[in-house]
Amino acid sequence: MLLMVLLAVWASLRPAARSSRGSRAALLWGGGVIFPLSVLIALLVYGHYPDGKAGGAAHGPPFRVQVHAHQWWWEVRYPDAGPVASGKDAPYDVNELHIPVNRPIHVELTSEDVIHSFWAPRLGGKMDAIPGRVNRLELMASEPGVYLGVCAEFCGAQHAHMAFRVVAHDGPAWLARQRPEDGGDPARVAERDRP
Amino acid sequence: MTQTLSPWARHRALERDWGSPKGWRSLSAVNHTVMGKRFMLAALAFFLVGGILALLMRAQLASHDSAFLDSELYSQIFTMHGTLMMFLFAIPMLEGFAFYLLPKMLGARDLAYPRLGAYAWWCYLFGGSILLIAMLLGLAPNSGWFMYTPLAGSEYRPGINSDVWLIGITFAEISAVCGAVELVATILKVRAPGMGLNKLPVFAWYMLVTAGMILAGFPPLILGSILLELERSLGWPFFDVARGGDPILWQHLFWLFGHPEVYIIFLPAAGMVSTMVPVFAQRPLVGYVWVVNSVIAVGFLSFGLWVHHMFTVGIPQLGMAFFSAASMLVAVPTAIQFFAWLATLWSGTVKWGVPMLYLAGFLFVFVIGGLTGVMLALVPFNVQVHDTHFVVAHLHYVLTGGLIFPLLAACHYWLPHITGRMPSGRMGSVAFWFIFIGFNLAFLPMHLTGLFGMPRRIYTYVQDMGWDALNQASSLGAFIQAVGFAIFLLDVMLFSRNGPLAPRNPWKAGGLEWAMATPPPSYNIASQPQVMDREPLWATPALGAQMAAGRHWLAQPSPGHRQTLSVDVVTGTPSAVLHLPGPGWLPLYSALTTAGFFLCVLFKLYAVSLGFAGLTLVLFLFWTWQGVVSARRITARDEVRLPAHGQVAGAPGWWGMASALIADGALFASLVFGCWYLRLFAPGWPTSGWTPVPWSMSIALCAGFLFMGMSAGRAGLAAFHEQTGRARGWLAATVSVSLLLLAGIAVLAVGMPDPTSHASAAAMRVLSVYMGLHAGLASVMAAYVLRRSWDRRAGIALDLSILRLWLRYTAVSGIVGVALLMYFPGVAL
Amino acid sequence: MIDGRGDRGWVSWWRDAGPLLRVFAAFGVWSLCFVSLYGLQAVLCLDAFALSPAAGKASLVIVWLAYLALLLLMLLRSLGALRKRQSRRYNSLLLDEAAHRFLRRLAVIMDAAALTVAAMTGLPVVFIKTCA
Repeated sequence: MLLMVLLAVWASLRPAARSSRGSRAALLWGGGVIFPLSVLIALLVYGHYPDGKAGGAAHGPPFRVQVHAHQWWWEVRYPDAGPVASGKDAPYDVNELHIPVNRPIHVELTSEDVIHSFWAPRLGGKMDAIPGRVNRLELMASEPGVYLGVCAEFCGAQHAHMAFRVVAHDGPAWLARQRPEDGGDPARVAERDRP
Repeated sequence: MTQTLSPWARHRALERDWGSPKGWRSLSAVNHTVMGKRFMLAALAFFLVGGILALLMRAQLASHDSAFLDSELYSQIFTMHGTLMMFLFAIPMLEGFAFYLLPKMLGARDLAYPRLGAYAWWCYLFGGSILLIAMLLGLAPNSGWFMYTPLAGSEYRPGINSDVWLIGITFAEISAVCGAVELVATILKVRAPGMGLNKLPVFAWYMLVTAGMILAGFPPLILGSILLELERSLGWPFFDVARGGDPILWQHLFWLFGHPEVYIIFLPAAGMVSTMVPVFAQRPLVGYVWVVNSVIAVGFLSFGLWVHHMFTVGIPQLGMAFFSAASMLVAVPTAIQFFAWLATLWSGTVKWGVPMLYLAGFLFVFVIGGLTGVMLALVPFNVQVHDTHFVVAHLHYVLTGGLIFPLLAACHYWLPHITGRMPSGRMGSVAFWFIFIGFNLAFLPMHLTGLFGMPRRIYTYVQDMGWDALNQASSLGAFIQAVGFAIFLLDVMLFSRNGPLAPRNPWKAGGLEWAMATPPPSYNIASQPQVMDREPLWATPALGAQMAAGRHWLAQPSPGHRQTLSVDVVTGTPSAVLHLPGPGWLPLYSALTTAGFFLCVLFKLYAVSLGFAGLTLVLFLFWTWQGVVSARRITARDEVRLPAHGQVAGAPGWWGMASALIADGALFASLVFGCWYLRLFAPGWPTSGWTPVPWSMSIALCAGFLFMGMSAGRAGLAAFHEQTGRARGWLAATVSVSLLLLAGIAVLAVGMPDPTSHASAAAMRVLSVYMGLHAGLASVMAAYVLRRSWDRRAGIALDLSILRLWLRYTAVSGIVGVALLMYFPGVAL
Repeated sequence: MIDGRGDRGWVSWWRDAGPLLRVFAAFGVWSLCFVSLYGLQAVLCLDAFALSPAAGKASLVIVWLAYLALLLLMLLRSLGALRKRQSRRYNSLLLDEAAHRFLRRLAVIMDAAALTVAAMTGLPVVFIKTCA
């Protein structure tokens, strides 16, 4: 690329050796050549530079979440939820993910029908959910809170309303589930989920 | 011995031969000036419809939770906006300009295939009308302009909407491919004498590369559309996961077309810029060879970018990196063109005018678009903003900057040529500022909207997303822009009729198109100039007068014949006189039968559609039969006599077939790619229900194809040595072998498993249909040439050379096809 | 009466348009290089292929370097052709020669560009894992 750029600059420097008329062109020249060139080179370097890894030894082990996209809702399951990961008591969410903070979240995306795209902008990039394959996305929340997400691939009539929430929890209540017998008392949930 | 005619008598004689019929008979016109204008007008109509759809969308998105449009209607509107703009406006508009301008710039009298150009226009008109009428009936396609499967498939879109897109667009694409075939032959062979490749107007280089890109880039989508239509209507699975298909195959096929498409749109516009900038700098283009180099580089590079539309699909990182690197590299040849323009402006004297305003706007807007493009090429950035309004902003910046602004400049610039009257400077400037400000107000905030998380193609949004103010600004900008376009149109319409008469060469340009009367006569120029410079009018200001006075080539009109020169590709030395057809009804009739075919497929009347296909074939044969030329030599200039084009190798007809075969080969390559892609990557493979092709059958088929490959060569050799009987023998043998091949392939296909059961069976069936079609057409063509050999009027040398191309292609693709049938379904890995 | 060209009978399309097609050839090779690298990478990452990562990486690098070598060869040949003052037509006029020289110059530039582009597009092979 540098070779081509040098050649291009050489080609355009040739006529400048003759008398240059038209002072307006000087502004175009500086703006149209130097500016894009420096930006291009900067971006090229930045793009190929290996980005700082979000996950590392300092963070906890990865946590898996299975997201199965439907027209027009998200089905969420937790294979890493411990002893209650399967069976009728298995944690199950609709349009919500509950995740722990500071752990790499490995989202396994599948689709029931058409192509959808899972995107929580503040947590990471997007990944398409495509029928027939499992796509993997790595996210991490460094702070507890609620993060909004949308479906980012046109999937039919209610594509605009296929939003979801990602709730990042600090502490052991991260897989909190409400059951009728809790009576709305979060302490009972925390008690139940203590390992 | 050559009578000297007065310029007026010459004009009358030429006009009598070249003039187009008037009144309703003008439907049979084929002249490039007429067809160019028709393309431009139809494209303008589609642009206005697309623009209104855009305004509807912006009205809907201006506020949160707007009740103006519902989801279904909105999805039809955004699909149609994209489809109309990309397929029915951008390319036909540029085609119209190219048809109108190229022969004039090249110093020729018409394009190489006037009837094919007319056919292309009718196909475009009918295909576009299918889409428009469907939209008016509420049946417009509604899965987005790139129609991702499975959403566009029969399970989730059972209505006729997607079929309308598939069929209407394929029809319009045929038009573009025909146009490309014509452009290649014209630019290579139909020029003024002496115009070698080093003197070729730079716009012609751009169009040559663009035409090549169309030939290679449209067939993947044509194939994809055929496959999706087969899946929707006959149930042959290609994209259905349960039966061995893969929705990602559609994405690959679509973007293999889709990315070159945007460069197919950009390059002609850049060509116009390269033509206008030297005029407004009053000096020739700086770095001509560098510009040509970068145009060719962009043409090829653009085919290596397609996966950058698929960075979120789950492709391995290394694969994405190739496309990321290529996507950034493509900015370099584009930058070279920019350097050239800027250098031209720098070292010339800049003359300001309305076109220059638009060119400045183009420079500004397109560079911004290019920068966001480079940002998008970086995978980490892309996975954040893919499928958001950031991409919408980017694509409008490059398309509006790269296409619309140069087009508006070109309209203003060439309007005096088309209408003979000057457009208004004041109205033009006002229109420019409205458009420029409106555009930036509409789309600059959209970058932020996308970065704030607003996805594409949502029909509404809730209040607390923080997108309200930005969307309102965008909508306001869109309406301001619309006002600007309205003013521009008003300018064009009013001043075309009532503007001041334009002087000869009002912009003081150097190109040959300004060396004729404006508006141009049907025959363009009374005699074809001997070209010795890149900017002939700057070198010889009196050239126009000389040509009109008949001081150059082909000054002697030949009554009843339309003549222009055919030249050597590299040097431009005249080698033959080309006889071009006059007005006729066959293009219209053929387009009508083609439309009949497509409509029957749309409405699932398959038996009737086959009838229409057969009828179209018959009409094409009549069409070819009519193009017969005598064998005598013609006086091209005082002492130079040239043969008629049929007598010389490399005639435009040959180039036309070669170009068509490039497109055919691209289709076949996409099919081979599709088969292997499914075999290796689709989730439902390998399949157990695969019946191997018997060895004896494969060998027989290959032998048949090999025979075909050599028979036309033998026939040609025999004809060259005047052994007519022998030639006829070879041709008869070709007919029989082709028919046997067709029968063999049919037997093979019948023995294959049910195509609706699995993608492998469907793919094999498509392969056999492809091979069978080619073998069948080979027999038809060989029979035609055989029949022609009894025609005393002219020799069959040209026909044989064209047949030879077809037979060799069929042989190669046939053998590859047989190998594929034998191995790919059951290859154990 | 001077009879114009054409009485030489069939001049093949190669002689007619060969120099122009030679200009396109380098990027044609680049296209093949690109498709080979992308295709090979995709196939190598299939589960059914039991190649070790090192062998896979090596095969990609070999393919890439082979194409670079071919492009370099083409560049050297076109540079050589540019230096020789060849007269290729039997009645070469000065203007004809200029057209051929233009194409030879263009071929050199295209070959150099294709070589550079192939080097850049293949570079990720070196520092990115084959099947990440």
